Amino acid sequence: MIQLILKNKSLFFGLILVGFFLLVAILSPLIAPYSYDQVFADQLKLPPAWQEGGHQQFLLGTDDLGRDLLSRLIYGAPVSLAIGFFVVIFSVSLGTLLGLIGGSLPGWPDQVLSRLMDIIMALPSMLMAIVIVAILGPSFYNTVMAIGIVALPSVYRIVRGAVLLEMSKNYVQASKSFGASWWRITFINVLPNCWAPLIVQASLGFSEAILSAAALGFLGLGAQPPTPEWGTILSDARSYLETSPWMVTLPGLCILLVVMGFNFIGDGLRDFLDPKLRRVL
Amino acid sequence: MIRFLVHKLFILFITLIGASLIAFALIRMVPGDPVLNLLGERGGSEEQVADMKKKLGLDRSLPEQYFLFVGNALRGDLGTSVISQRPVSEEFWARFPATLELGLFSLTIAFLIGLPMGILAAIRRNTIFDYGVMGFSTIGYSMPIFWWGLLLILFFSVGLGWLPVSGRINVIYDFPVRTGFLLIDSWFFEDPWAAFKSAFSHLILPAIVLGTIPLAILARMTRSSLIEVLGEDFIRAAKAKGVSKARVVWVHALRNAMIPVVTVMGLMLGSIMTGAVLTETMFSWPGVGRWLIKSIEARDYPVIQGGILYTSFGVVIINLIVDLIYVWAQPRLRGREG
Repeated sequence: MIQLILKNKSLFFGLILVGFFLLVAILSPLIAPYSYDQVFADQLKLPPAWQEGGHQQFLLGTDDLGRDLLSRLIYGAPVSLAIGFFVVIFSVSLGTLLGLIGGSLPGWPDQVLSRLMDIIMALPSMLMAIVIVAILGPSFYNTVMAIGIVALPSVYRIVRGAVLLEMSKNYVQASKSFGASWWRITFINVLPNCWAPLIVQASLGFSEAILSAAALGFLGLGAQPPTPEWGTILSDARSYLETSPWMVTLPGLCILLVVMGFNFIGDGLRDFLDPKLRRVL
Repeated sequence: MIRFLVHKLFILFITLIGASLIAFALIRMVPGDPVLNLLGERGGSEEQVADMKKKLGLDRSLPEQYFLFVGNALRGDLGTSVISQRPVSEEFWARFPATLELGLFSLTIAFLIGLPMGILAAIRRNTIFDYGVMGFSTIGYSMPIFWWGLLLILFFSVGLGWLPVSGRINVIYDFPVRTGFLLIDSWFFEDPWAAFKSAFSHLILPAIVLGTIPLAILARMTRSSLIEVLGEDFIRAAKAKGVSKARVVWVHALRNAMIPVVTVMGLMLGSIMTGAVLTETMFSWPGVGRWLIKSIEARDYPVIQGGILYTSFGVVIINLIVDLIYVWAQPRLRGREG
């Protein structure tokens, strides 16, 4: 197993990146030098320690309110990972359920569900999420809901496609001939054979969710201050782009690295689980 | 083919009804009374409230309101913006060229760079060049584009001072709108070359930002699709026939490899719209995306409703066109449905 992972470079890099951020997220209260909202009123906009004017005390500098940037970025890791986690749980569980129904019951259940997903897909995802958040009010929970709903169609389509493919196979026919119920065929026989594309989609869903959440934060519609969400931190620092660029560059780098990590894992799993999936996803 | 078309048109019809229902329902789910929101915190007299309700059609039943909304929308009337007091459709079409110009220009960049990158990576599979393209592509589609835009601003505008950071053109050039595309319109200004340069320098950064993710996906899709086609029997047959390697790749393989690529690019339209919202906000680009964000912030409901309707209509139409191209390019599929 370990050798297989080492051979698959994408998976390897992805696991390292995501593992790093996961570790930071779990250990955040232990490794962060300060709290994310502790203010040092006399240390405003300090540059990182290695630059002129920086302090050893604040490794990555401070923001416009005198908060330690490193601590805020460390506490931002659990926020972004949690958003990704809940979005994936929501969209994968509901999307899988609907996909199983749509794929196994041709006729009106499939028609209704597929058209519903077409409708969600016709509405530009970010715009939809923005409108949902604007209506419900910006918060962690509403961000998860908004992004989870717009992520549904891709999970649905993948599961439905996989189910349709499995349904034509002999083992399903065999099961039917034994008089197995719809419930048994769909959930016991077919579902376990659909997990390969699902797990790839879950990993890619993680990266998409984190990216969307950061974009919402950037537009001021994500998690609200003082929650140290990376997109929100970046957005707040925009007006200091010229004078204090590190306040913008560092949170963005965190977003890029963690999103890249999940994309690498997704790519790696795709090659690892089934080379033929390349085309499907 | 006819059956296929009818089937697709039926789906399109259903999708549009759904989208209009969502657009209609969303703004009615907003907590609080829209009339009181519009009249401000102090509210108005009872008469004013009743007046406003009548003006907005809110005194009728919900189904009545919906049919009124759809009926008006079909005649191109999407109501009046609360902020500007001008018709929503007029406001939309005034901004649409800016977004279209940005979108087309960034897609052009994506195709001009992404396509050759993908093709070369496929031909030189498993070389340093291939790994470079794949690595670049992964970074590209993982990119938080709002951050990428700020980095470019930091480098090219703040650092080097080469490029402007906001707007479409220097304000000294006034606007006799002809096509709405400033790259074209600028030639009708008094000093065409300077005006064109100004328009171009305003366009280039947002276009790079918006084009990055399509570019990355295009390069990757082209590569994997071409690799797959190059392994098929008809390619081996062509090679055996003595067709030159260049001809095999550029004529035989590429044509077939482009079919899934075009499909994916078409389906990416929604995500380009998402990118446009972020890019336009970042660069103060006076297009549809920034207008919608501003309207959402200002709770300008007729605009939000109209914006959702217009954009979903655009996405659905483009998807239909992509489907048709797909079937047209792959005659094998013509007999089948959807």
